[in-house]
Amino acid sequence: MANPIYTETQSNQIRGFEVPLNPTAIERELSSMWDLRTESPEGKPGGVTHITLGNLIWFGSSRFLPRIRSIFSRLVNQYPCRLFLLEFVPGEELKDIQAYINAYCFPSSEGKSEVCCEEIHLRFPASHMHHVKGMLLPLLVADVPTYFWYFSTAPRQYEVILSDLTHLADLSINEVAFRKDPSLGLREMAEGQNPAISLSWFRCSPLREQIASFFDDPATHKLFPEVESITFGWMGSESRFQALTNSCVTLGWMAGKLGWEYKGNFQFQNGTRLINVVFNEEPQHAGIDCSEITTFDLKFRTGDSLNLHSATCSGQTVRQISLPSLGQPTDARIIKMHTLDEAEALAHLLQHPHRKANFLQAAGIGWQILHDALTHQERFFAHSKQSHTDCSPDHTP
Amino acid sequence: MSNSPQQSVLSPAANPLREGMTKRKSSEPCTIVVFGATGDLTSRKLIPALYNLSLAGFLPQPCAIVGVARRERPLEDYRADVAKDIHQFSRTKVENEEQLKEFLSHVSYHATTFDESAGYAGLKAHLDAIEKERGLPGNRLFYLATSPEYFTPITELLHQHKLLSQSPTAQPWGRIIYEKPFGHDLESARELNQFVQRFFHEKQIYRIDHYLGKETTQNILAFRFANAIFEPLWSNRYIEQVQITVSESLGMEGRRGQYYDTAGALRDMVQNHIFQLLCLTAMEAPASLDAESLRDEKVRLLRAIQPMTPAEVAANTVRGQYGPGTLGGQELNGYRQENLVNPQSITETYVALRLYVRNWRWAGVPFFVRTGKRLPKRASEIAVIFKQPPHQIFDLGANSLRHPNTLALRIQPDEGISLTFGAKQPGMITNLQDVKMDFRYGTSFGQATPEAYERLLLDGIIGDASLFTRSDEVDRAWEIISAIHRGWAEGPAPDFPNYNAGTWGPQRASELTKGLSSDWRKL
Repeated sequence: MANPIYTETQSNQIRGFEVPLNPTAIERELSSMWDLRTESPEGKPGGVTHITLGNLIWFGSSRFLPRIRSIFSRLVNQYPCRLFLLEFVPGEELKDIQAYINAYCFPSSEGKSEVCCEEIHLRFPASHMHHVKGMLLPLLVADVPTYFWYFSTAPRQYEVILSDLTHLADLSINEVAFRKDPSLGLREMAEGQNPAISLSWFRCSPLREQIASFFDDPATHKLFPEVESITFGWMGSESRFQALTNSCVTLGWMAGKLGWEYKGNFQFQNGTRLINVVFNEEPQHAGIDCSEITTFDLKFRTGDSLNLHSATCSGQTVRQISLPSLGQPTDARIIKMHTLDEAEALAHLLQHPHRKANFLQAAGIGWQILHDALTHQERFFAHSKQSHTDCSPDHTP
Repeated sequence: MSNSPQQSVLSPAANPLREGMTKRKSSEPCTIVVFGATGDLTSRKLIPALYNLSLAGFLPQPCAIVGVARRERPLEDYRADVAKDIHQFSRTKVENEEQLKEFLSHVSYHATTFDESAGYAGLKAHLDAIEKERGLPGNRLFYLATSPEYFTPITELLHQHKLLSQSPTAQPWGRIIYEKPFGHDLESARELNQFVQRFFHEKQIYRIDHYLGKETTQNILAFRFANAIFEPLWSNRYIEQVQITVSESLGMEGRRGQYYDTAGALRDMVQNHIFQLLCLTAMEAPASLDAESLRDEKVRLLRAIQPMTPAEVAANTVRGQYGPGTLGGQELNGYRQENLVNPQSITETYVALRLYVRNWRWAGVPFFVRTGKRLPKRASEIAVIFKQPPHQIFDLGANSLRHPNTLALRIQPDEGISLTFGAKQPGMITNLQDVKMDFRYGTSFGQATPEAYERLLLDGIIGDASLFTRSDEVDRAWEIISAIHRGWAEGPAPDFPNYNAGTWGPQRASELTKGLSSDWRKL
């Protein structure tokens, strides 16, 4: 054992030791780390519990490590798991596979002891890629689910490992909007053999909750057949593909639940009636995340409408909501709607992986309209200069 | 509950967009009116619970919180007190003063006496004005965090002044939460039930027992009915006895003695909290988790416990009262020396019962329950003690397995579940030792556990009565308790005090467990 690493994050301690490469040694070093942790740091006895509800494997390049560690340090409080960081190092810099172990610790909710989760970090060059799966398999904790998370794409030489990891995982997680062709990505997820889900599905769950909540009152159900048009809007063209993808998946979700059929040309058929879909790209405003859907507008043939619009009030993003009147006078009101960040969305997903069924249904419809929207961008976004390029944060040209 | 497609078939009234989502019922905009707004319960529990619900995004939007108490005071003073309560008692520390300010903006205050009609017209005007100003539809949840003698006048005056509708299906809706105790004995509970049901429908009446709001209490259902491995063992075939303990190290701090001396351990803890734990432990699986199915099973279980005759009371109950003693290095007064307690009091501060559930599943299995004040530690747990193997092939020497398999469901503190079983000690000699498998909520999930009142307030807001007690449940619990009181009244006077503060209660409690493989558990 050599070179102890001590780093601190906001709320958790990360401690680790450089360890030899042999996978058997990794398990042994993990045991040694727990023994040491039990006695240390101030000579106080015991009080450490390490727990694992699942295996979470992340695959990506070095530049994302700080971001991923920051997410992990927040995730473990919500979903304690064994974390695997598979860091690919392009070029000639690295000659061999390197391994590290770390622990994320936080005080238990009863405050009497520390709860810790293990992180196993493997750095590898392209030449050693074929060893990674063999190293990983014996390290996976048995009898708990395995999740594989990657952003979207990887250089061609890493495709094999993506495929291997997708096959061994119970569920793959990625960000479909970052794919080169998000509509193809959605279609593959909906129709593919390996269960997969887009993290943005969970990031958008507060919006779906809000939309669904409009219809909790059975009196509003009479509006379902009256839907005339749906408008999605966002601010700025920078993250058009994220916002557009999220809009189309949200549309797919509504269509699936309400029995609408996509007829092409941005129209859904609901019984004998047609529903028009509109996408609106507005200029960017300060304070609002450009990947968010900022406007959701549902118009009914009765003259009613349901409108959700984001705005900034005293530096805080809030949503203004106008509800269908249903014969009663109503005023628009301000609601606070928390948007989930990556760590929150990931925790939500890992706690509720069975929700993928809803996503798959939404993706199966949403990809069609997303395909049309991407093919006919000029129709909606003529004023915008955004081109259809891969905006994946993990894209390596 | 399963999410299988077969089970997600929607009723005509169901919202199709909710299919496949978390079964988190949405809360409709409403006004929450707390009577007893300056009391201890409101300060320590209700206000922090509402604040935490607001932080977690569970409070409806918009909503209004109206504190009602007798003393006139400016709104700003009341809000300052609410802020102080949150700083002092909230499980989530205030990290963002803006969030607190935002929460306080929902809070208003109205002064009125609880039992005079005049004040209720003012309250109605106050609520109407606030609801108009905030665009609230008039849904109202009333929380009676007052002393029980105000339950009847408040109920009647709320009705008289039409502060809420009389129908459970009316819109806007109206509900009333009653704090415990709901009645003092069978007769008063029946009177109170009949009284409130004259004005409001049973479905609008929410009788609170905060033990049901505890995560660990709810987990008893999950443990029993979401895992196939335990239920086959859950009967007289494998279980020797069940012990339910709710022990407190506290005595009569502050003004507690005034109430407690009129109640005693049996009324204060057994009739409500302990019977709820007993029901969840022993009842049959409900058809679903809806309020009526769940409460039907609890009532069925209580009906299988026969009220005792005086002779049975003498044989199956032990009561006690603490005398002076020491605990944690402190000299402690006896109960009769406590503040606001009658120096000749014969109120029991400890009770142990042996109960039998007379049904097919539990025939012959004793359920031991005990609760007391000034016991060595604060602990609530349910221990399921299994029978010994029918044939012992191991040499049970002095160092071998000494205890039967025990499954302990810890309600508080250290919420969790442990299973004790025998294992071979390493070495050349076959020696068995007790070992423990331990699941702890705090370390397995990481997330902070919400307070019971958060869950119960939210359920009141969304109209889910599953974790509240129904009138027939309260009635049956009092029937069992009142029979014990009658037995005690007919028997000899108690020899109080009969245990020292800081001990596990009267020696005689051990007689109840005689003939079984284990005595009361040492917690």
